[in-house]
Amino acid sequence: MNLDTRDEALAGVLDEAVRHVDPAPDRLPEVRRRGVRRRLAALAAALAVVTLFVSAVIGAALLIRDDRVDAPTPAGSGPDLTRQPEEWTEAQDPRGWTIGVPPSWLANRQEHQCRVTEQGIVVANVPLAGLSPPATGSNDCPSPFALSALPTDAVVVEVEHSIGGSSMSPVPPGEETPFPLSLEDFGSEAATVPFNPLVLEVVVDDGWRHTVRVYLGLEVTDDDRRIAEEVVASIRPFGSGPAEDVTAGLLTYRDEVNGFTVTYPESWLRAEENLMPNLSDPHQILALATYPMRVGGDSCAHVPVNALVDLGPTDALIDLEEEEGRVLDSIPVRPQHFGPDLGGPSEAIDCVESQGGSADFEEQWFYFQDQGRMFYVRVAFGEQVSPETRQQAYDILDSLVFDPAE
Amino acid sequence: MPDAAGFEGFYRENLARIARACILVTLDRQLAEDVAAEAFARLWSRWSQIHGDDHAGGYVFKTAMRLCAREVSRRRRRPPAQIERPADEVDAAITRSDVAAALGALPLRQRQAVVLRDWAGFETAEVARMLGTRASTVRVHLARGRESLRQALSVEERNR
Repeated sequence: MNLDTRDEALAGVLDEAVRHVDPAPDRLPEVRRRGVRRRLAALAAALAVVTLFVSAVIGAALLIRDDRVDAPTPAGSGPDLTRQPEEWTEAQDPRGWTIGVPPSWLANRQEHQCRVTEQGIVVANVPLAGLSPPATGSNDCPSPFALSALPTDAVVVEVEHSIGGSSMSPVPPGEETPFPLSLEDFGSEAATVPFNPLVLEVVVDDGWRHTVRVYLGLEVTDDDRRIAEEVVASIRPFGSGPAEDVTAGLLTYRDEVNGFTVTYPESWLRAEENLMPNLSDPHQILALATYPMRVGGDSCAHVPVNALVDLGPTDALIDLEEEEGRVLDSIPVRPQHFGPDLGGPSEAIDCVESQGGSADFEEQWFYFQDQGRMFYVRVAFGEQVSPETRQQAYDILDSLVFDPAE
Repeated sequence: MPDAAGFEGFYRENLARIARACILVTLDRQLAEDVAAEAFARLWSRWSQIHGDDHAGGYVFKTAMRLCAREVSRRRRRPPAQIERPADEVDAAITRSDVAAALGALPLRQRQAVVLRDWAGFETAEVARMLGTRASTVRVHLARGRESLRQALSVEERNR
């Protein structure tokens, strides 16, 4: 049986079954209207992209110019402004509290002696010291930054410790606040449009008032919002021992045979075996999931069917395959970041259903080239997967480093 | 300015073929005609960039197949009460109920592969491009889909 030849007998049966269908072409005006609307929408989208690009270029130019200015340090602030370009680091404030600083974010220690003593630290995704004029806080003490001068995509996490002063209310009684902190526990403070901070009074039995504020700009990106949550979670009070390494909890796996490195959360599991042993080209080089994966499956050799059958509503799975041989020019190069917009569903759902499994999951399948090598990726999510798990999957893919083709 | 007369001619000539392909995939005449209309609307929005009927034909088939797949997936995810249609309405799209049942028993990708390769006559590589997959995968779908249809419909293999 030659699969590349057409089966005329089947073609005849199918044709006979639908030959009577002959829709009238009376929807042509509607088709044209919809087509024109699509064309206009595409044009508008193209204009928006151009506008965004020009805005981004101008914004970048202004940022670069700002960075080159020797910015005045706000009165009373420690000149501890440092760029953290490569990986998360840890910063310590004057009270000994520690906080994680994401790559390219800035940490700025604060220390004021005014009507009250204020100490703390500010971590932000924008340079705060360059925002002038230096602002004045509500209690006539210097403020670390001027809200009105912050760009609308800024994220600022501020840890403030205060003590003394007749106007300061007593430290609120209550149980000590458990760590790590979570943004979900924060409340809103009086509106300061466009930066309405989320606030949490942290109770630590040391006589000081500790306040954590998170300022999220109106146009903050989802990535930065997520990072802000991680920064908040990284805050540790003095005396709690060394702060947990915010990069801890990640495992890095080096595969010498297949020539790649990947970093993934400890909570994920890496398959020790090829989940698709009957698929030779392409062949699986990595499978990771939030649950134990079973090898094989009866319905499709080219899909990790058993593993997908076991995928629960909050689970995620990554299947990475490599195809040997020459990389075609038509294969797209690796995207800067992996995300939900790549590719589309494959036949995996059909395969799972064929085996009696549930199709209650979403799946995307796409391919790319990197280092002269060609890869296929399948990512599957249960229907109730959390945004965090979903992001972890794309972060794992982003972490992949491939050796050059031999 | 797009060539309106050229598009109209292409539309009239190919509408039935696209609608029939969509019926074979979705097994629902109303849905198939809606999908066909949307595929042609998308073609019209790019008509000035598409040269030649072959190119247009490939584009509109590919678009229609992707829309069919999306709609079938959406239906599969909806509660049954929302997608139930009278049986005679579904069957009315396909004259032979055994064909409708046999197609309906196939996974979507197998159905698409058989329709595009055997019914529409596209080469395997073209089918792979339309479905966004590899030719080897299409061959697997073809083999399984054909086998199931032949058994269900008692059709002998006749290759060309």
